[in-house]
Amino acid sequence: MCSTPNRVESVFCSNCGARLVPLTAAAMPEAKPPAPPIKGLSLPAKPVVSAEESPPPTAAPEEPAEPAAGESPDGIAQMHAPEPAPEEGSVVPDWLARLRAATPPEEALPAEPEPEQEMPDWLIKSAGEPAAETPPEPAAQVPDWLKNARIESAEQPSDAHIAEEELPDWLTQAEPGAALAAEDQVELPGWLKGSVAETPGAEQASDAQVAESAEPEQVIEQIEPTEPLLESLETTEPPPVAPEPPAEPAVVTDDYEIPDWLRTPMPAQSPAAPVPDIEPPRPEEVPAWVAALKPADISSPAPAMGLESAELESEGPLEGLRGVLPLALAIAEPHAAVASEAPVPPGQTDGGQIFESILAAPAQVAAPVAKPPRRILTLRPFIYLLLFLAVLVPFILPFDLTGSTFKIAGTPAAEFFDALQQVPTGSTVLLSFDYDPSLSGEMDLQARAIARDLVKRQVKIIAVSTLETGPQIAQRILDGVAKGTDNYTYGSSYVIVYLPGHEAGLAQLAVAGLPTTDDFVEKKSIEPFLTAAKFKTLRDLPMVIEFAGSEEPLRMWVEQVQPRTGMRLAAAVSAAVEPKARAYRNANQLTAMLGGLLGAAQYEVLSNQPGLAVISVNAQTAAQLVLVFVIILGNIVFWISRARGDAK
Amino acid sequence: MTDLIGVWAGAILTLLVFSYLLGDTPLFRIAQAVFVGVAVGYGATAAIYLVLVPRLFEPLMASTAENWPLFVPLVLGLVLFTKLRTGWAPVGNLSVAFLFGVGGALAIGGALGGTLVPQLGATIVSLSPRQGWGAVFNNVLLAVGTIGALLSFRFITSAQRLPLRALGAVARGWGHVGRWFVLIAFGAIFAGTAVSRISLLIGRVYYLLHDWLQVVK
Repeated sequence: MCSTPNRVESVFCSNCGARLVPLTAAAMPEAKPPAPPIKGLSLPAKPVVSAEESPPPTAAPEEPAEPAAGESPDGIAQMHAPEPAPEEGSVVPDWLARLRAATPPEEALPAEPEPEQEMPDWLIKSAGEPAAETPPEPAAQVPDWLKNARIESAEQPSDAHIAEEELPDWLTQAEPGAALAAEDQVELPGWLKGSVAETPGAEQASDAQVAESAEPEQVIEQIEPTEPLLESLETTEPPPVAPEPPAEPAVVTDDYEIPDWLRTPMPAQSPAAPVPDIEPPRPEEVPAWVAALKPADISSPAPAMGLESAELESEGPLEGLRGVLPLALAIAEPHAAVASEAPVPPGQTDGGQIFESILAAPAQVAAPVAKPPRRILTLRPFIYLLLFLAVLVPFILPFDLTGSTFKIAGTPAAEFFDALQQVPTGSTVLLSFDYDPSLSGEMDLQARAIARDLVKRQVKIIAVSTLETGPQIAQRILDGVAKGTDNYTYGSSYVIVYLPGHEAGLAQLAVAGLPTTDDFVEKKSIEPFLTAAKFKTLRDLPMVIEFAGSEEPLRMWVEQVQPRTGMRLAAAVSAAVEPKARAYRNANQLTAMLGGLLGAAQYEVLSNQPGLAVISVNAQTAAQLVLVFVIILGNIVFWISRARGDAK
Repeated sequence: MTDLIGVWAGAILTLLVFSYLLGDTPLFRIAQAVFVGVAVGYGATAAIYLVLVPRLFEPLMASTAENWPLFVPLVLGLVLFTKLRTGWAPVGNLSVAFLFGVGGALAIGGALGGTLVPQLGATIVSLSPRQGWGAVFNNVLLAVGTIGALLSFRFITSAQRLPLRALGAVARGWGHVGRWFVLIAFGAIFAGTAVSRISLLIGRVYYLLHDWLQVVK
């Protein structure tokens, strides 16, 4: 039992899932179980039994079950355990007889009003306001036992003894004799004994028995006056005795250690203390650990499951029982996370104390941890340096790395050279410079070698470009080549034209020929040059050479111009475009192809004009050897490290 | 003097670009910004002085009656500016549609007549041994590689019946072979790109040694 308040019709506790209603056989008549003894101040997990279900308080049970002392959870409950009163004439010890004689009448005992502040809400509602000030509630709202108790208390004279047949069983049996009989079974805490010793009844008892030094008698002196106090603290029912005149306030000395919760109700002995309207605290005012004490599902209680709705077992050993296997209901019931234990306020647990001690301890300044020096161990700078040296050394120390491997016969460069040699001297060719300055380092070598060969044979050149930067590159190349050649000047031997429109411009070139527009350098019409060259369409030219630094311009020339004109198209491309250009060459869409720096060097050798391309090939060969070495070394290191990783 | 300034400017910008080997440094950012600025400025200048002025405005101003068809590209070009405002953007769709229509027609026609048909024709080769075993080997390799590369992009499931299932197994195996041809082609392209970039490095180093430092003839 977790003491969680549940609805009356609930069968299982919404918090701990414990059964609140004992198993009953459906066929058997509903036997009213005896009311369990009310325990202490804890809230009952069992729902409040309605007035109809509870046994009438006045009607004593036929045979009240006498709980064994050992079965009672605490000693206080044993005080309420029914015990037969000693009969008249029976053997009574002397000390008990003296005690009876010395015991003041029951009405003389201060009837402590019930501490209303400690009463739960459900009890406050059922009991209403204190009887001294508020009129009795309607009968429909007051339980029968409470009404009976009030009637009895109103009719009972102050000095009359309570008839046994009018009192509840537990009260009937809770006579002083019973308390005396249970004296050896009750062990009160020290603080309670101390408080009892200060009560008037205790003083009377101690006066009457001042000569008695027997230890049991002292215990009786302490226990007997505490009976009303225990009842007022532990029972939730109003005392059956009639309201007494205001009792003297209990004087509590500081000699004894009384908890605060016990000190608080004592001033409430003054009658008619109204219940203050306690304003519920706001959520932000409630500490976290207090909020954690609140049951998780208190706002949304579990759906009621009565035994009437439970399924009746029709076969097996459980035949006739209802609600024995509430599996389906348990599954359908919404489950809420239930804390295994109620959280303990911080600071009361061992962990909390340790944590507080840690916080209270002075902070120790951590010793500065010396960071290890950051070392960037990577091979990348070494690769850069190695590659730079491989490129640099062939220029400083010229040596021929390609002498033995420099093959020319049967290469595309030789094929290109042969195709270009078929261009007649004094004829006109069209060169298209379709690369930007970023590729000049590679493409300029090819363009310069081919232009030098054409200029040497006095072949006129019409330089065009589909890129904005192409005419500038063409001018630089052709001007440089023509500088050392006599009778080869701009306007008469070569012109430069910009072709806008990309694919559309090339398609127009293929269909309508070169437009009669101004040239790039002198801004003069190229019509006289075209007329002198007898150029109308591209078919009139012996060859068109495309310098393509990327795939796009080569594809445009192959797709837009070559199929429409059927001209002889040769391409000098960079090494990156060479695989694509080779496919066009294999399909005979290109007459010849020259690829990369190696092709330029080969062409220089074939045209007997070795220059920068041949020197650059040496540097390129050295750089490629370095790359091959790095790739092989990297793979070896990778496999070794992988093998070590597998071994580990 | 102009050449000297140009050489020094080129050398300094080259070194700034090489600073990228040490990381994305501000020096590289400077060179990058200079390159982008120069490229855009040069492109705009070329568009104005190589296209608009000599091919549009001068002919219209010289003889409007004879060159009145030039108003069509002029209007289409001006309409493109309506794309700058959202409300007027649909007006510019006419120019965009014209550009896309012409470009698409040229691309499709050129791809069919300039690449697809000629390349398919180039794969129809003779396997006759009369042309030599070397040529036969090359042609067989060409046919197997081409068909295998096409089969490597086959994404259909095999049929259930035995003949079709056997055919599917053959196609799948051939596709695996073709995938290796594709990988070899990619490797060749990558190697060519690497070689091309080494050539560019050589050109820059030669520029620094020959034109700037003048330590190499």
